[in-house]
Amino acid sequence: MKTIIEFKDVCKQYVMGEVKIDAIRDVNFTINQGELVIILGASGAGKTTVLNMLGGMDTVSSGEILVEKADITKYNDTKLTNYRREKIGFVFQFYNLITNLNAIENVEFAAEVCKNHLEPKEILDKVGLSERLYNFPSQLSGGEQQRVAIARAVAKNPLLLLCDEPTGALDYQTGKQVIKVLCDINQKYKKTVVIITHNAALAEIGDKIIHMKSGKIQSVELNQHKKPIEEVEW
Amino acid sequence: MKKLFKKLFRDIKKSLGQFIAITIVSAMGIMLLTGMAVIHSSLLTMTNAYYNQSNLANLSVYYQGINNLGINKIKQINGVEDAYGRLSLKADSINNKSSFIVHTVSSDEKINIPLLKTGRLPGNNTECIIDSAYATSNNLTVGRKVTAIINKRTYNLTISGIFNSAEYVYLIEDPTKSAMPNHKTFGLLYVNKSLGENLIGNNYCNEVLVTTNNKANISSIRKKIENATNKYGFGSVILQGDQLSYSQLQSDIDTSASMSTVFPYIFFLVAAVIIFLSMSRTVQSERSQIGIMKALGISKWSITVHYLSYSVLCGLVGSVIGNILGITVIPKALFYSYNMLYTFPKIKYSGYGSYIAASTVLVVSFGIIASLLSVTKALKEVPAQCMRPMPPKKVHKIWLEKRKKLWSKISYKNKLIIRNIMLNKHRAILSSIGVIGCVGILMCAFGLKYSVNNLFDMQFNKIQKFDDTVMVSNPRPYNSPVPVNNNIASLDKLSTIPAIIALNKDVNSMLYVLPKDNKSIQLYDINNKEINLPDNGIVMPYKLAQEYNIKVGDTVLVRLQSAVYNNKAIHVKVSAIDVQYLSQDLYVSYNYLQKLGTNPNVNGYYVIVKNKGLLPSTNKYLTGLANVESVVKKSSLEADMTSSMGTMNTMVFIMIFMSAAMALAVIFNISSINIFERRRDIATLKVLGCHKKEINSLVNVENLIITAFGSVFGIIFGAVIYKVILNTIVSESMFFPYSISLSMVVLSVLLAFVFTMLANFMLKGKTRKIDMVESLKSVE
Repeated sequence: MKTIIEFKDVCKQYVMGEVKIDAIRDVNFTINQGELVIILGASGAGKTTVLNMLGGMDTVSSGEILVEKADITKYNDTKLTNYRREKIGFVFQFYNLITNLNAIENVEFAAEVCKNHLEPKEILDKVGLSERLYNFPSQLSGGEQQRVAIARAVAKNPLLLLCDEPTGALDYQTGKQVIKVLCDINQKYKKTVVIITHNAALAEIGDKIIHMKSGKIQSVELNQHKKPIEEVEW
Repeated sequence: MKKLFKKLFRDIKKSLGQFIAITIVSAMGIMLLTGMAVIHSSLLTMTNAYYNQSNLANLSVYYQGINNLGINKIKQINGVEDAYGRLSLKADSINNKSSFIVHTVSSDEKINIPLLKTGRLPGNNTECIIDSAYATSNNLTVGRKVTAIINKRTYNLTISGIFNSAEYVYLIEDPTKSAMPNHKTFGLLYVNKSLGENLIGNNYCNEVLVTTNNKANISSIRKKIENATNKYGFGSVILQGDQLSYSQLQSDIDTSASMSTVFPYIFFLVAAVIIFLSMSRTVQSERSQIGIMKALGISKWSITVHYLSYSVLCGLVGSVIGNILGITVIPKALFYSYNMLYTFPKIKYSGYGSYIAASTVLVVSFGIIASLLSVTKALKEVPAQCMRPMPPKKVHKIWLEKRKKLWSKISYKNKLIIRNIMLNKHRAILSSIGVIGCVGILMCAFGLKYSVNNLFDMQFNKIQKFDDTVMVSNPRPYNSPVPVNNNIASLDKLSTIPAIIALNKDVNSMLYVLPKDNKSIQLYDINNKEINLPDNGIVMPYKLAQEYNIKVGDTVLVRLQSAVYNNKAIHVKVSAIDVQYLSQDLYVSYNYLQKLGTNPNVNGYYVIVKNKGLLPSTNKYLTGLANVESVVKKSSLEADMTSSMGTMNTMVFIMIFMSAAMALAVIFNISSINIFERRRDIATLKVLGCHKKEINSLVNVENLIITAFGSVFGIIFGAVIYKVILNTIVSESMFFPYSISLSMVVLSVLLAFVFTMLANFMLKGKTRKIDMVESLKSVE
């Protein structure tokens, strides 16, 4: 399988006054095309920093991040913006839909700026929202909002879907449904999906599980016995 | 409580830009209010005291010659307090360098009292007193001599005193020639009564000064005086309010009053709007904190005071800055112009205290009301409710969406902008109030400037075609020879006759007699169509025609105010109505006056030179001619007028500056609030890969739409205040055309857009600073 992402000795230091804090240190891992990757760790383990780096939202202190062989740490602001625009589909913990656009507009809005985007209506249908196309975020439940957010990310037809605690703000059942949608997308569209979570139970559904602790990679484990989400309990 | 104050200062520090904006707008309002109010009250107090000290006449009555018997008759009229007669003449100095207004004066006469600075009143007919401005300009002191030709006799008078005159605060030789006083060439010369008798005889008085009781009906007194003294050659009556000096000063006093009534409130209102929006935002974003404070047992009252103190602090800081500017910059700027025009005692600024207090109370209460409106709602909620997040704003379809075809054509960026405006209508409307005020004030400023420029162009380029005005010392018959010179392209004979037009009241004017086919003056009617000098009537100024409802074809009575014409009264037909800007005079052809049996003597010429380069040599030739009294270049008249408009320019600059500050403050502030409220959306857009430009344009386009919307109403608002201001500042003799030109509208709107763009530029940093990580946080 083709390697699309490669973290090479990535470090990130935050300077707060006179104190230097290492957020992540010597992080190395690869992500292959079509993989469902789970990044696991307790809060403060450096998950969000990895997400920020991977998502092109922050710069590294040292190291390289190769995305399809290109080192994005060398990118300037505009190039990074284009990278986020073309390559990454974000799914946030708190959905982050644009409040003043309705469901279909939120999806179209994101798709519009990408070259080979997918048909918004079709995607919304896939996530089971064909009935709620014209509802505004404030008129949708949390699970529905998150599904719109996933549709928004998928419609861009990005290189990878980057999901930050996608179930964090949802109840158990709804959370499971959302994960199901993500798994389906991973399988049907062969999309690479990265889920960042503190929920260890989700490890069972991933192809690759990256364990993080105190800013370092503890282990990278390949899961040979993937379980469907329906069989996972937490 | 102390901790709450700490929080207050930290809040201010956190949104310093907003605090500064509110403070600036408040300060502007206060600066205008205190500044103009102090000017107004100081001017008023000073002039009233000055007029009282000198006991200014309520009316002046002119006669051919009246004696004590006649004056006593006036004194006996019911309502008349006092009356006394004096001689009133014009005289020249021996070398023709300057001229004087001559009056007789005596110590037992108590109206229009000359206020002696040094020396004493003239004791005999070899002494005189002169006004201080003339004395200073010509380096004259008590004991020096002045030689004057009064009524063709030469007097060598010793200066016995130097005085100030409240009657001639604005002292000008001929308002139609120059509005700027020239104290070097024109002064007051008061002589002893005995010199008057020496000059003319017992009936030397040709002017009677009258004071009346406060409640007296002036017009009935005027009638009674006319009836009682008709046989002394009753000429005309000039009321205090119509006297040139009085009315000129009064119009400036009125201007200062109107400036302090209209504009400051625009600023206070705008400041209140910003305070309201900022407070609403602060309170909204601190809902949970309010809940916590309440849960901690802090009383509603303390919390209210905490939020109120923010606006009170804005008001107080604005008040300190505004008042300091108001009592230093504004009076300095305006009194510089006033002192060029008027000779009056040094002004003591008075009534600071009350205006400072009043303006402070005003701006603070605007702020308190605004923040009370925004705080009370949040305070009504119970603590638990406060600590839960706000229910999401209800988003609904806007009318535009119902037009599906149109809506589908709009890009998502623009949909977002339109929805944002429509869902926050009240904020959009309030922001546009800033734009409305800005465009309004700009329109008013440009309107005034345009009026003046237009007026100058009309007066000095279109109406007055001549280059020089030549006045001769000995008026001569119409057929006398005129100067001939190779440089002169054309020369027109001119007679100027002081006249009174008997309308509802007597109006002082000047009769300009010119050849019918002259090339020197081109009159225009209100529609800018050329008027040829008629030979069957006179041309009446538009302003008078309007005021007294005179139409073409009417007949009016004109009394010539000159002994040469035996103060003859003539009935003239109004043949045309023309627009005159700087003075309101009658134009008439020699033909017509001759038809009516009056043969005016020529007392001047209008001269046009072949080219402007020949002016100096031509003037030299003309000045050198015998009998030529003066040669006045048109360009120097124009320069004089320009400097007399100094006050106007100062005002216009102040207004442009302030409207800029207002627009910037409002748009910057309201947009910051907007950005603050949408920071999560903006952070998300950044993560989704929107470029800086695209994100900035979300805010910028919204501001531009609001500016466009506000401009429309601003134009209407501007047209109204321009008219109001124009009406209050124009003096009696002037006519300022009210017209709204396209360029002035375009310029105002353009500037408003420039200010908006500037605000947008200042806002760039605000969107840049929003961290993408913000999008990962939970909703507060």
